[in-house]
Amino acid sequence: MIEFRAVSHGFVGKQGRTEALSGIDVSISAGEFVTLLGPSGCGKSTLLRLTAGLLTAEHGVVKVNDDSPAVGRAAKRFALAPQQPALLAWRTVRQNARLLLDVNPQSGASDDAVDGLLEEVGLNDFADAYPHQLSGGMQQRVALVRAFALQAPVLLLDEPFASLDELTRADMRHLLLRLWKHHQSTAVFVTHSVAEAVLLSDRVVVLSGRPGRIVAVETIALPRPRTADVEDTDEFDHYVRRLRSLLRGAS
Amino acid sequence: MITRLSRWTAPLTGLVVFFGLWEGLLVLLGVKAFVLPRPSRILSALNADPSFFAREALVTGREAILGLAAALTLAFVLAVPMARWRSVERAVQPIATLIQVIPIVVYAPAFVIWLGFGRLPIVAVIMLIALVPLLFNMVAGFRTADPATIELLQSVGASRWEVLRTVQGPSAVPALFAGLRIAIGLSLVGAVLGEWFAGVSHGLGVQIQAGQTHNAAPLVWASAFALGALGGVALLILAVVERRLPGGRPRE
Repeated sequence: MIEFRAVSHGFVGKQGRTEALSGIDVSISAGEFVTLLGPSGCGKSTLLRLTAGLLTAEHGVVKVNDDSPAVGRAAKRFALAPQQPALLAWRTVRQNARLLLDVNPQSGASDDAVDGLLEEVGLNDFADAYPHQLSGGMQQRVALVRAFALQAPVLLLDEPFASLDELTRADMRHLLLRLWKHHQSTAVFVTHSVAEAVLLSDRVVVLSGRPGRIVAVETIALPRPRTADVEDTDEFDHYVRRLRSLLRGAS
Repeated sequence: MITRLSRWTAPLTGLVVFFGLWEGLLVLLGVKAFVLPRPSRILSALNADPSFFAREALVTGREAILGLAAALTLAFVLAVPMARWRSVERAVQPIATLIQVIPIVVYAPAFVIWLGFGRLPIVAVIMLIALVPLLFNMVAGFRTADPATIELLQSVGASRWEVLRTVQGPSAVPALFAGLRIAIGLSLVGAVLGEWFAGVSHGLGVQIQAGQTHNAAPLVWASAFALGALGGVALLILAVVERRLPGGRPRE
């Protein structure tokens, strides 16, 4: 459903040209949870932006459901969850959750989902609160609701839990898995946390540092649903060790 | 309730003390009313013919509103491309700075020569001097919008107008209103100056000039108080409007 064929991309900055990605070839099937794992600056976020049509690949082809990303973007097929919650301070929680439904309205899109989602993430009592009244974890939950409310077939998550503390982060991973299972969307998740990649993914794409190349694509065969106990199993550790050694080899 | 009360008591006390000292010192030093009238004398001058001052204030107020509206419109038209393209901003910046550093007084005679006598040159002067703070604050305000939120909206195909309306516009509200507070003061300066040069027969600036000609200090000061009231009311309205706008002061 998402296809990268010989994708390369670079940026021109003050120090001249930087190659961000080189020779990316990978396909992601519908309903799959795929994580892009790699060191900082390996082009993970660039790959996500290419998928969302926010950037256009210099070389190679990106296709989403046989369409170009630009077509998918105009049709609201991508739900983005950025690194920071990026909530609007003057909108209530409910209004923030509705933000992406309100712009570029499409015919036939329903927006009854917002209140149900807020309840699902335990924020129904805060629907009329403002972002500054919420903790970091709660803000990020609003950002997840905002993404899932779109009911888009493709979910693009750019290290959405990077700024959270470890305990909150662990809760958020399981919340994300619940929502994803429920909505059956295709998820592309960017992280540099190995444990996060193992817990969440069907497959992990390991990228090397600048320019980003695919080092390996690992299938995580852990059974679902994955609860907190999965993290204590030997299999989990095995995958963590395997990915770590791949990352070490890559840098 | 207590905090609400104390919010008003301090400024009111300040005003009472200020005018009390003014009144008391003039009585004590025996200053003549034609030099500097006591506040009570100014108030009684205002009170002698309130409809006269209201009428004149309305004339000046209308000039200020028209000039500010024109400045706001022009600032918006320029600020949108300036916030988007640095080159446009760099092209406009020296012109705006030049407008700002040329003494305001110069514009009034220049505009009267250009546009003739009447209200038009007055409104034009106000527009020009209110434009610069509005423009710079609006551009800076648009820039405070969070790039991540803008990208988020773009990821669902939001139009440039939707981004402006939902993110950049509200983000610009605090800076824009700071600019408006400066512009309101400047607009009254422009209105008074304009009236002095534009050959009109009504307005608070005209009355100040008449007071000077007839050596009538109470008329000068009563008109000045009326100008102060005009500006004060405008600032209060501005504060109320800002609180109701998205992106305005954070709610409690």
